[in-house]
Amino acid sequence: MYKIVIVMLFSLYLSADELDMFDVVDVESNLTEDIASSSLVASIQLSQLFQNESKNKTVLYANISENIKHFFYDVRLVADKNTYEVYLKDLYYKTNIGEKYFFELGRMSIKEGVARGYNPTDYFKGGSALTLSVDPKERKDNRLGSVLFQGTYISDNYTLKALYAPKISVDSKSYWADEKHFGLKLNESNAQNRTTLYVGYTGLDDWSFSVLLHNNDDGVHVGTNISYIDERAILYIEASVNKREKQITQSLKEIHAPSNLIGYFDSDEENRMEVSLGLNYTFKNSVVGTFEYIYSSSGLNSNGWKKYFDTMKTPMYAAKLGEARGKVANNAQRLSKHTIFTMFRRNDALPNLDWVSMAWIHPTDKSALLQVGVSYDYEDIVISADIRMYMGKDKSEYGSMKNDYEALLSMAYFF
Amino acid sequence: MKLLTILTLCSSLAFSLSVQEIVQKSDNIRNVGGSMYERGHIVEYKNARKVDSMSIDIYAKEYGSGFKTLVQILSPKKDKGKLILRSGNKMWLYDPNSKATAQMSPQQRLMGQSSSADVMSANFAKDYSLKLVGTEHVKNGDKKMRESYKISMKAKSTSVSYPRVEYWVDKENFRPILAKFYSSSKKLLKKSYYRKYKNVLGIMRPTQVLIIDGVDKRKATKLDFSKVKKMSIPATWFKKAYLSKFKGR
Repeated sequence: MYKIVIVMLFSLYLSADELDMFDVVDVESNLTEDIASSSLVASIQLSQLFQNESKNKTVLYANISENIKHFFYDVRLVADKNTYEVYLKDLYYKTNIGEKYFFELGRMSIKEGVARGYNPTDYFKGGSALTLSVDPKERKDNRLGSVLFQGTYISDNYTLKALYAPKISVDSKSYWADEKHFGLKLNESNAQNRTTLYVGYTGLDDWSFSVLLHNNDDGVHVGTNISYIDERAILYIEASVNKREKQITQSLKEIHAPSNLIGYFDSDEENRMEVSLGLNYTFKNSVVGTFEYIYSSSGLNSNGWKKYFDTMKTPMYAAKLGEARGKVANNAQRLSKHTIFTMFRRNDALPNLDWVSMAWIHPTDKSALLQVGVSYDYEDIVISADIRMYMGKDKSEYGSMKNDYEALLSMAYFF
Repeated sequence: MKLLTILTLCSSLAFSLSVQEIVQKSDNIRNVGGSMYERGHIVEYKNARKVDSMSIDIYAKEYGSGFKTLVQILSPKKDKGKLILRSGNKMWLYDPNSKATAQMSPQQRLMGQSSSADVMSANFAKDYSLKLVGTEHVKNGDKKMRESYKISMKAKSTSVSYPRVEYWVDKENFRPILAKFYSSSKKLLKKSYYRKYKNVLGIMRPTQVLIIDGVDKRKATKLDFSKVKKMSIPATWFKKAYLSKFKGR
């Protein structure tokens, strides 16, 4: 009987005047509410990481940031039960001359690149990721800024940028030393001299185009970003070339691995290219999909990975190779020559609930890192859950990872 | 016969001009024009229950046939400070905390709350080919029957958000009453009631738009606008490279 009543009520509801329906909501209108003009953003987040091989971990994040007229600052706290670190992620002064010339000075996060998975032209991607997440966007978005000076000229169709980030060495015993809880970590964020010149062209309706020249300890990098936008699709290509050794060799040198191990992977310096070619497409069901192919000529091919796993059999080298691999991950670089990245995202799949799934696939050894996440927001609280699985044979890129799965549960509150 | 042909041509020309004029007058009521600022409060409903809300500052500048808009999110707190830039066919989302800029396709921008602004800022007279269907009585946003012009519109280019629109304009004062937005396959996407007319910058303008989802009638969005004012905004504000330089008003 009650089912019939529900059906009748529902039928009545559907036939009701839609304007009548919104007399109810007019009461809820809150236009008189005066919105605070402060741009202060503060949040606190508790995350629990579950791993099948490594220890589970509880991490507390806190963040406060503000965009004041001539200043921007962003301070982060990352703490677990053993220790805590306070990061001055950003603190910079900004000013302008007229409406076309802009200048920034201080610690600032810099990001470049149109690609969604891997950004070859994101030359500042190395350094601390201030998050546990393996989501490339999360890691890219939460990292320590570098101390730099940047000047920008914006005209009708062109953007010109010049940037200089100096090498800074500080005494590790000073009060702002890297080891301290409140250390500025300048040795980390400004480990080398870096200069970038950027020219962007936006004069075409559907196309965007930019060229970058970046100079650091590795030499000169030449990069480009091109994107084309259609009704449902964004096509993009992002590429960078520079003269360098193979990635594994470079990383082994960075961790001061034994010279015979480096020699085993030794490679000549030559012009090496990284390319991300992708498509971002909005489906009719509102799912946004990204399909990206990543090529890195400095990465390991099938033979390179075979050599890697063969070398891992020697215990004294295994730890160093693991460390070098960790260095590659921390610097957000690619160790493989070929990678396929896919991501599907649906915002408001259910009211206030978003989901995202992504996969990093090694096409040759058929291994993959799969991640599925959901997030639900209610008022000022966001609850999210991510599960990631490393799939593949033991001697494959992702199958060889220490953990088979990880799960991350987080709750954030915004003040 | 020749005379009849000439008279027919003349009358159809006058008819066409008249449609253009009607829609232009209506556009002038809906859009302030030039360069302007306003505050928007967007509330999303499902089954007449509030499920989400957002407050935004909108900076808009007329160019060509449309508007370039820079939107700063004021609330919810988790999105505070984020910027949405729309310039022609291109749209970007910028997060000042992460310094990340993400480009969106025109279809992507039709999803969620960001699409609501399209309904308000559309320039019908310039962006659409117009056809006067006739006059008919239609219920306005205050549930009063009004005699109105019914106009059928077809997009002139793919840069606009909705390929087809049906539009009802009050015959007496050219105030927009109702618009129905369709996909290219003529599927109803949205239905907008223009409501709560108030004197804004010397003209009675709608300060509320009620948007009802075409597919799921239980879903609706209500946009309220306040603090509307003319404002000189530099052209650089509508460049992607400017997003990280934005300091607010």
